Amino acid sequence: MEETQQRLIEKFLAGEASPAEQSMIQEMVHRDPQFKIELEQYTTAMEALKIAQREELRNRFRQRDIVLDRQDRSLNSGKNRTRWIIALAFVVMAFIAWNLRNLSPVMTEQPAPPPTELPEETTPITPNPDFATNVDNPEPEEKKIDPRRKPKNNNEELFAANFEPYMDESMEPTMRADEDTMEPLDRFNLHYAEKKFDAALTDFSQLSSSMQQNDNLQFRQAMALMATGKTKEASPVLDEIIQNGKSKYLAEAVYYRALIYLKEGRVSDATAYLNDYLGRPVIANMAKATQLRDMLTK
Amino acid sequence: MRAEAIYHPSAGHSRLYKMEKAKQSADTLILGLAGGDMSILDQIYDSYRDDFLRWATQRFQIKDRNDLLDAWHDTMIMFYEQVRDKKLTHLTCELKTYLFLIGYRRMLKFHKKNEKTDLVEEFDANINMDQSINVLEVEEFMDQQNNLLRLAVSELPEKSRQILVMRFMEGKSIPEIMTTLGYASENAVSVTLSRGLKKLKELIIKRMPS
Repeated sequence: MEETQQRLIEKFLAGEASPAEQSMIQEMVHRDPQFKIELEQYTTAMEALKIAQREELRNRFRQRDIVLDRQDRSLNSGKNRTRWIIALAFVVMAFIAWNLRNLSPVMTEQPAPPPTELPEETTPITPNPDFATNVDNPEPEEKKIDPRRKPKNNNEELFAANFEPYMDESMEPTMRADEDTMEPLDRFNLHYAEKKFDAALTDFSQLSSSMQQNDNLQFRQAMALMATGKTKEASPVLDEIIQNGKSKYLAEAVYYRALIYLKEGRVSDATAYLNDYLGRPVIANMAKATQLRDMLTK
Repeated sequence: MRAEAIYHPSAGHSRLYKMEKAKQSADTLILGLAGGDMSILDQIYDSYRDDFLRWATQRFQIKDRNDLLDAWHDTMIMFYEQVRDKKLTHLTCELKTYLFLIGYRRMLKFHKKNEKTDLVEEFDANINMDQSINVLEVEEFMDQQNNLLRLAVSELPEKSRQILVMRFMEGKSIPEIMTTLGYASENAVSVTLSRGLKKLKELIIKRMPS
């Protein structure tokens, strides 16, 4: 093909051929079969370029997809994180609000329990002789006690009145020897029996991890914690014992958990646990639990 | 080619104003894309991809995300070729509407939907689209012949391929190519161009003697 023809075809393929040039091309197509073939081959080459460019575009878009999907993932994880934080904040606020509500005086939840204090005696009022009053039988004015008015530490008093570290024959130490030579478990049993609860807690911490997981030993640990005023630490221990349901002190764990609830002012939970306790077949603190339950529910 | 849109008379001034602003923006994008600014194509792709996927999923009940992405790729390719070939120079509807119409036809064709949706109802406008958006072309993508053509192009030297694409696909002039690719003279560009075109023709003949 001549160079001029080549240039003409290139202009035609680029869409830059003038009308006169287009007519010339049409004439050559009709006149010269070889030119026609060449033109068709070049047109096919244009199609090849278009197809190749489509493939390049497709690859380009696939790369965009990777970038966009990565951005979407990070955006969504950020959104999810924010949502979780907000949800957690709501849960915490609701928990705090609920706890505050339960820590308020008992009178907001149930009818006033019977007064535990005798009304105070007051000195009789001597009527003023200047006034015409009924002085024949002056009645000593008794100070009326509002049954709804309770000491602020009543729950703690109830706790103290009803709590006593659990003890039974099986907890009696089997060996008494020099403490320094005793095994940690024996030392723990000894100190618990002797009501040396601080020392017992120290002994418990020295037990092996498997022993520390023993529910029966954990029950005594909870007793020692409660006896030393660490009820907050004792409550999860008792919860685990109750949840596991394996300990021979399971029922008693329920009772002591009720006492902790009572101390915390969670009367409804305490009542529920006392009812649960009283429904069990073999319990050691039936009288106390019954009296306490009745007191709380009146 | 002009794509026309008929707006509802009840459309408020604010809606019309927004659409006019959108059209001006779309025309600017088309102009830039026609001039070879491929970042505009990326911008359009990113802006409407997720909307398209959501719409197509709901409209055609397609679960396979790859199918949807293929459809979106084809849509964008067809849109680009319209702009490249100077068949689309101005929009009188929103760009998104135009793109979704292309995608709609593509989805209809390739997923053999029986029910025909009233396009007016679907896109809230009558859009007269150039029939050169031939959805059948998409079917040729996977054609054996097209594979051979693509392979022939891949055998070209990168420089030759680049010049050919710039000249015949992107419509760049010889002086523009000289400036962009740093050639010493326009003659050098012309010679390389001619040689590359001949080479491509020979490669095609070699693979497809018929």
